[in-house]
Parts: sequence; C-alpha cells; structure tokens
Amino acid sequence: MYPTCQHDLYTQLETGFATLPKTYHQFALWQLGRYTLLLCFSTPTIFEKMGKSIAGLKPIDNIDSSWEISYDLCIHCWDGEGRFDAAPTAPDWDQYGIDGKGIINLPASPDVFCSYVWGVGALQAYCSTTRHAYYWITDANTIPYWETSFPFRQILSWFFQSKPIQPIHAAALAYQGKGFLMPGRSGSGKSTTSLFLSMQGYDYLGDDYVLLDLSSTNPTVHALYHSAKIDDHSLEILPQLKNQAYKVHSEDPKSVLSFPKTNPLCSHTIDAILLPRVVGGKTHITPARESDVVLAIAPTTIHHLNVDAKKVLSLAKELTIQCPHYWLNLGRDIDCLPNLLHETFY
Amino acid sequence: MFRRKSGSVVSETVDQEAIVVNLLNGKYHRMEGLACQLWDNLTEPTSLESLAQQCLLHATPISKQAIITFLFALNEESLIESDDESFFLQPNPVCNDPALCVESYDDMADLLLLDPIHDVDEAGWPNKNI
Repeated sequence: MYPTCQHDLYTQLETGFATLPKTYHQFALWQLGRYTLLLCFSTPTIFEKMGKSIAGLKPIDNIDSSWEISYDLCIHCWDGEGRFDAAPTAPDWDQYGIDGKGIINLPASPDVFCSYVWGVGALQAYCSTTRHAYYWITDANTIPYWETSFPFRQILSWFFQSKPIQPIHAAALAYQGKGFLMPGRSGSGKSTTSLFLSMQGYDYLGDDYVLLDLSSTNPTVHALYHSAKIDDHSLEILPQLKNQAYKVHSEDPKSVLSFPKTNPLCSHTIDAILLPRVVGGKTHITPARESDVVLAIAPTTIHHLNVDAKKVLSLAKELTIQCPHYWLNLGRDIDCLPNLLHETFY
Repeated sequence: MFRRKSGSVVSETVDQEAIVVNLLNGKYHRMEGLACQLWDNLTEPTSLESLAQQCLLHATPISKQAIITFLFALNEESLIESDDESFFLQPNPVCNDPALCVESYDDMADLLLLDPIHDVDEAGWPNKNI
C-alpha cells in the first residue's frame, strides 16, 4: 500500500524494519554535546561507509534485547545486502514526485520528516515523537564520497530543529584554549586553511560541516566528522597531505582525508569567527561586518540542508552578536598564518 | 500597499543590514541603511507614501522615483508583492539611488534549480553534470 502522507511512509519503514531479524552488525554511540546518539548498522559494509567519518564514534559490543541504553536519538542504518527482499516495499516515487532537494511530495506530518537522497538512492526518515530515524539504501557500495564523508547531516538537522543547535557549513579549529569558527562558501579557502592549520598543531573540528551550539552560555562548536574533502588544487598547495588523501572512486573530483579516530577534541567554545577569502598579496586580518558572517553561514547551510531557513538566519545573527568576527584575507604566504593568528588572538 | 512575500522569503536584520533569502530561486540579498529600514517596514503592508515619509528622515533627499525603482528591484527579485497588480506594469523610472541599493548574490541559485533527473551526473545532486 502506498503511503498517503509522510507519517505513513515513516510507519511503513518502522514496521518493515521491525520484521527483519534483529541482528545489527554494529552499534555505536555518537556524543554531540550533551546529546547521545545511538547508531545501529545492519552490515559491515554500511558501517564502514557511514561510520568511519564520524568524529568520536564509539562502537559498543552488545545491546541486550531490551535495548536498555540511554540515548536521545537512535539512527537505524540499513542497506540491502542480503536482506533486500525483506526490506519495506519502496513507494512509487514517480507517483508522488520528489523535488530537487529530495523532499517527498506527500502531505507533511508535524512530527515526521522524510527525504530521498539524490545520487545516493537512500531514503531517510525521522520522527520527533519516537526519536528514531531510518537511513535505508539498497546498495551501500554505491554511496558516493560526499555522502560517506558527512553522513546523516540531514537527520541531525531534523533532530536539532527545535533546539538552538544546528549543523552549519563551516570549518572549525582550536588552539591553546581558543576556538575559531570559519564559515565560508565553497572556494573561499576554508578547507585549505583548516587543513594547513591542523598540520601546524591546531585541533581539527571539521572543515565542511560542524555543529553550532548556542544552547549554553558560550557559543560552542562540536565536531561532527573527522574527514575532509580536498581538491587537486589544494593538494598542490599542501603536498604533505597527498599520501593521506584518497579517492573513493577514481573519477571523484575531490579526495578524502581521514583524521585519526582518537582525535581527543570534540567540542570547543567559539572565541572568534574568521571568514576566509582569497585575496592574494600578503595574508592579513581585517574586521568583518555582522552581515558578512550571516552571509557566510546562512545561504550554503540553507541550501545544502533542508533546514528551517529562518532558524539558520537567526542563529547566525545571534552568533555574530556573541563572537568577534574578522575577514581572514588569504595571500600566497599561507606559512605566516600561525604567527598571524598568534599575534592577533594570543 | 506593498509587503514582503511570505513563505518563500526569509529575512534577518543584523546591525542595520538586512539579509534576505529567496527560498524559491536560491538568490540572496543584502540591504543596508535606508534600504534596510524600508525593507523592515515592508514586514507589514506599507504604502508608497509611508515609505516616502520614512525617507524624509534620511540625510540626503530621496526622490519618489528612487523609491519606486527600489520597489521594482524588490519585485523583480520576487521579494515583495503589491495589492495593486497594475503598479509594476508601469514603466520603471530607473532612478537608482545609492542609499537604496540591493546587493544580490546568485551563486546558490544554480544548485537549487538543478533538475535532479537530467542535470546531475552519477554523483548526484548537488554535483552538476559538467
């Protein structure tokens, strides 16, 4: 029976997965600030694909049948390996239609969110009442690098929707007690700068998506992923990373870098916002307007994730009120960056 | 009367600058100073006369043609609507005043408007088919 609304679709997923043998391959805990996420992976393949980039992911050996473990969100991650015939019947996508961002054109439900991930062939759904989410793909081997590098970001956006916490498109680093948030459009120098500084001893919290948390006294950033994407041009600027970078598929435009899973830093307060931009000449720091920060954060976050745009704008504004903000004008002399930051902020 | 479009347009004002995002076409805009003030006024239905009154407080005179040009610019970007459907059928006076400048950015627009079936490659949205 085809779902008549998004809640129906979610219920079909929930019911379908409940009929499958309860033999998850791997459970793991993902701590994001004060929130605990329980991830359940059905097969080794999908655990390898979707779990390896997650910062601070802690595999756990066993959950007893009563599932007595405390969590704020449970994400069930299934692929079709060996179990496709038992998986829920896929709805007729042509009948319902899916827009360019994967929004499924079924009547909405206030507590259920569903979307289709184009290019991956995955269906994801979340219910705020049950606090369970499903990520279902038929073949995990086909998941592209840009999905395995930053998994579940849509589900996270749904989960944090009613909280002053939001995955945003930004890099983040910390060094000797100071945390720096670096939002910026693709091509702004954000990834190259964060990777370079991580090689200079800065703690890496992310280069593309991080979790902005304004729920406590001081603005805080939580690491989501310990992977980075780097293009060939940036690898020329940072040749030391060539040995660590790899392409998931040879034709991928970007390579992936993985950072050690034992990265001890998962969160840090934000002490300054740096907006990278490539200007040439000598690298220097200048004041930025609050609107520059909002423009650096909001449009890409809104358009990369199906999020509440008003919330993103509001959080970005609140962040600029609480944190000093600067342009990081990048020249060709990237080597001077650590000294420049030290002179400016320490 | 003129007012912001609801639903498809979201906005936030920071330090006398308005950031406006059009969720339908992916474009976003920045307005500062007087332009930001007029945009803030458009949260509620506002008349041309009321906008002109607001401009009287500005340091330099702002002509009515400049205000109309500003409204045309907002309408062109699908940010506002008018009770009077014929208003935007009249010729645009094209009287640009730097105090009523609307900065527009369309680098996100291409991403948003991709046809996922035909315009993306095997890597899928948001990777355009080059």
